[in-house]
Amino acid sequence: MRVLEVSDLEAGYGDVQVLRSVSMHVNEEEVVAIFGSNGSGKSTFLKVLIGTLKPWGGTLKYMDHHIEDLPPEERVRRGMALAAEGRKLFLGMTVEENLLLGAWTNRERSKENLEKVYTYFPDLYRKRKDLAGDLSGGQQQMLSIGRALMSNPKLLMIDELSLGLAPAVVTKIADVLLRIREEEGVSMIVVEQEVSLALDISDRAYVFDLGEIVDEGRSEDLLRRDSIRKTYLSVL
Amino acid sequence: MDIIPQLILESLLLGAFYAFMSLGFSLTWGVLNIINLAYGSYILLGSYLAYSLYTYLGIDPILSLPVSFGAGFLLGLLTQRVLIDRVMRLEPFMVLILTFGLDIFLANLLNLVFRADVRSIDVPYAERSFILGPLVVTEVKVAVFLLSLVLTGSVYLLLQRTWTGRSIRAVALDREGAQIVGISPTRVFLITSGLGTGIALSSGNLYGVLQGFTPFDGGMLTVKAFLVSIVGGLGRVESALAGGLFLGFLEVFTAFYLGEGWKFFASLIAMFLFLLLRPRGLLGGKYYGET
Ligand SMILES: Nc1ncnc2c1ncn2[C@@H]1O[C@H](COP(=O)(O)OP(=O)(O)OP(=O)(O)O)[C@@H](O)[C@H]1O
Ligand SMILES: [Mg+2]
Repeated sequence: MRVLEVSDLEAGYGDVQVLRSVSMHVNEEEVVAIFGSNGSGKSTFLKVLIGTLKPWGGTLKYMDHHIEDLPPEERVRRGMALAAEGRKLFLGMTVEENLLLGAWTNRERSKENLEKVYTYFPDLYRKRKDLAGDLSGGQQQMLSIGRALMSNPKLLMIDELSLGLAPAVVTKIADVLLRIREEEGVSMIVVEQEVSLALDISDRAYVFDLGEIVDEGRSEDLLRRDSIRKTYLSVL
Repeated sequence: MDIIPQLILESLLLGAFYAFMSLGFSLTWGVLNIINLAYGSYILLGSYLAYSLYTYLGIDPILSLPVSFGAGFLLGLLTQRVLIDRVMRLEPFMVLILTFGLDIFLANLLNLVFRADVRSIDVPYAERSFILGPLVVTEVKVAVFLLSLVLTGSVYLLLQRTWTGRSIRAVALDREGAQIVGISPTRVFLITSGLGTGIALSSGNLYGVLQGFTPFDGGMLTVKAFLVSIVGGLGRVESALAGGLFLGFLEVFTAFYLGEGWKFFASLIAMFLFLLLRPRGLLGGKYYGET
């Protein structure tokens, strides 16, 4: 079964169209990477998936059910979670409060999930009483992903995984993601500008340009493709 | 001068009441990002409700606090659902006009039912006083003070310790962040509006035992709630306490040194000064909607 199936998706802001006929899918336990130039619609795409932006047309199926008309809260309840661009943390609240809010749709399991997230990210445990606004960029990214994990997602979506983070932190977070996939069978969509990293952690990838998918394939194949290497990996 | 301790005591007592009274205003402002100009009339609705229950059924205004809160909560849900929610989505600025109209409507409705005479809720313990050495305070003021603290504390606990409270703060801090964890802002707006209006009406009970009131005092009360909110800065219960105390001191001292007639002027002047000089309030806190 496919976790996510998107067909001919169109979306935009006001009357400016951003996404044009986007079709893609995510299989069970699969990590799918999305990359492409700035402004190509990657974040817009994730907003449509989580439901904070209404699509103009096309279909969205999650676990074989149409979700176009579901509000974000219902999508989260069914297992979709987003670590958004800009992180959208509650900066005036503590780390632990942020995490608990991630379990809004899943309160019965908030205690056990809290422990789980703290095991994945011990840094967060140490900072649990601090305000989210006082964390470093890397810690905020961990918090953003940790908060998304609190709802026990089946499909975890992460926007700008590595943006602004030191390589060591990125490796740490990427390791955790792969662990989560292994231990919990979570599927993921990872938007990542650092193409070598994107292809390294994913099974398949889609390339966005001007709101369209212009290339796609298995990550190991894309990694070897000349057009990709020239445009995105700056190697000749 | 011996009078100073007495004035300070009076200021503290009154300040705690103003903090509670303004809490609903600052909460709806912070969470929904709207300024409710009908807020003062909501307070008066509570005063008249408590007045009616006391005068016709003999129910003490303190005992009828939950009635006012409940009525206010329902009224808040209703106005949010039917009126404000739609307008704030289409054109947030128009909420000002909407609540301005609502305020005039409520004032005239109260005038129609109760007429413009000054009413007061004359509880039997209104005349009794505590004497603490050189200080004298009426039992009513002490009762209002304690209730204000308890009720303000309850709102604080609700916001800090419950899932509902957390969701309210989350929407205030980051609406989109709240949405992606699965909180429905529309629902939070409803609850906040209910809570805010419930606070307004129940503070009306306390206002009614503190002093006389007429249907047209709403504008003045809204200005006070506004002042308390901008002095403390929006967003936290602590801020409302700071703002409430400020207004308490301002009124008590102005009334004593300049005369009762200057009290409201002083509030207005303070409001203008704050808007000009410290629009973020004394504590320099962030507005709820920011970050
Ligand atoms: N809230 C918005 N209102 C109007 N236009 C928007 C909004 N958000 C994004 N856009 C526009 O939509 C287009 C796609 O933006 P989007 O953020 O989806 O790109 P992106 O691929 O995520 O870019 P980046 O790599 O810089 O994050 C851009 O042209 C952008 O200007
Ligand atoms: Mg983006």
